[in-house]
Amino acid sequence: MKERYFEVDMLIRIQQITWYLVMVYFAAIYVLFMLDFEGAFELARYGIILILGATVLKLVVLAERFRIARLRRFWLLSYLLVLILAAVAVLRYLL
Amino acid sequence: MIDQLLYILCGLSAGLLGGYLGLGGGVVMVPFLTVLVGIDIKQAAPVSITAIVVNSFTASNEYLKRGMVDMELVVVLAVFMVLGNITGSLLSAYIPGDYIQVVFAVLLIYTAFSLLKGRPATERMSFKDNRGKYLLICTLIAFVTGTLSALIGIGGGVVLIPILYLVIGLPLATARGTASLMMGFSAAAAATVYFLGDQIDLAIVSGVVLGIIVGAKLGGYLGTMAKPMVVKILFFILLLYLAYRLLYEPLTGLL
Repeated sequence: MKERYFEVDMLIRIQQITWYLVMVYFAAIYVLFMLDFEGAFELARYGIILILGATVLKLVVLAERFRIARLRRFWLLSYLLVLILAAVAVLRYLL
Repeated sequence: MIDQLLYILCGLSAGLLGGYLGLGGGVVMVPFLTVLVGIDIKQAAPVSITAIVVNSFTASNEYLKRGMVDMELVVVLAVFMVLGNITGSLLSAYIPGDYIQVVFAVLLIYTAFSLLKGRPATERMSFKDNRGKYLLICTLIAFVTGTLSALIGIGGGVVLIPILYLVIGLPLATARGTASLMMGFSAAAAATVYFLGDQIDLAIVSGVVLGIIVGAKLGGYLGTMAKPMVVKILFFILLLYLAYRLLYEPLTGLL
């Protein structure tokens, strides 16, 4: 019989860690801004990279959870989404 | 400094309402930034899309912890919503926006009243018992919603959640939790495009993200305990507001 139990603890943990990181990072940008640090907001660029990177990581974890739960169609769909996001990024970068 | 406080306030209010209803929050952020702060829509849209990704991983965690997210549906909706977005942006050069806006506004008004009225449990289709069939219907719904949201420029969640509830018969709380997580994946594609094109205003996004990360946490938590009637009334108001926004330009053009 197929195992269809889907474990979401890992996903919750990743989202929780990302929440703390983004929170601390953007709060730090604001502290620097208040201290008149020139170009404080330029640091937000890396914050956005962190946010987008965490989204891809979430998708990969989701896909692997589907694989473990033997939900093949959803496993493939998750990686298709990763592929679409990567294709969009590559096309935007090249064009 | 006042501007920065307004950006934080914008994120906070979008996070609260977005998290509470399972939306991305664009429906709050874009009017807030353009009307109240006076920022151009071309600057507001990339900020809003980036903040939606943040809202998603913040608010959806509260729904995930309480088992209010359908994981299979998340992936199906996200894939077809993104494909719909791509199709919509390709079609936008060929389809006159005004006609679609009017038809869509009428549909939104109909959805708003249907939502408020609700459907008797006996009439409602059971998503649980017919998963395969309804997942297929969901691909169509997500694709059409994605295409329309790219064509008209409205957020997907505010349309998708009532449809999932009314057409598929998904419980309102699950529809909101599922949309909340899904929205982050579908918005990530557009956010990547804006980011690589250097179109995101870093000063604005810093404030909005800081606000939304706090607001969405609280909104998501409150949303998991929300009474269905309160959620329905809020959606009713939002749908009518969106319909008004869609009808305003074509109708004033006619008069």
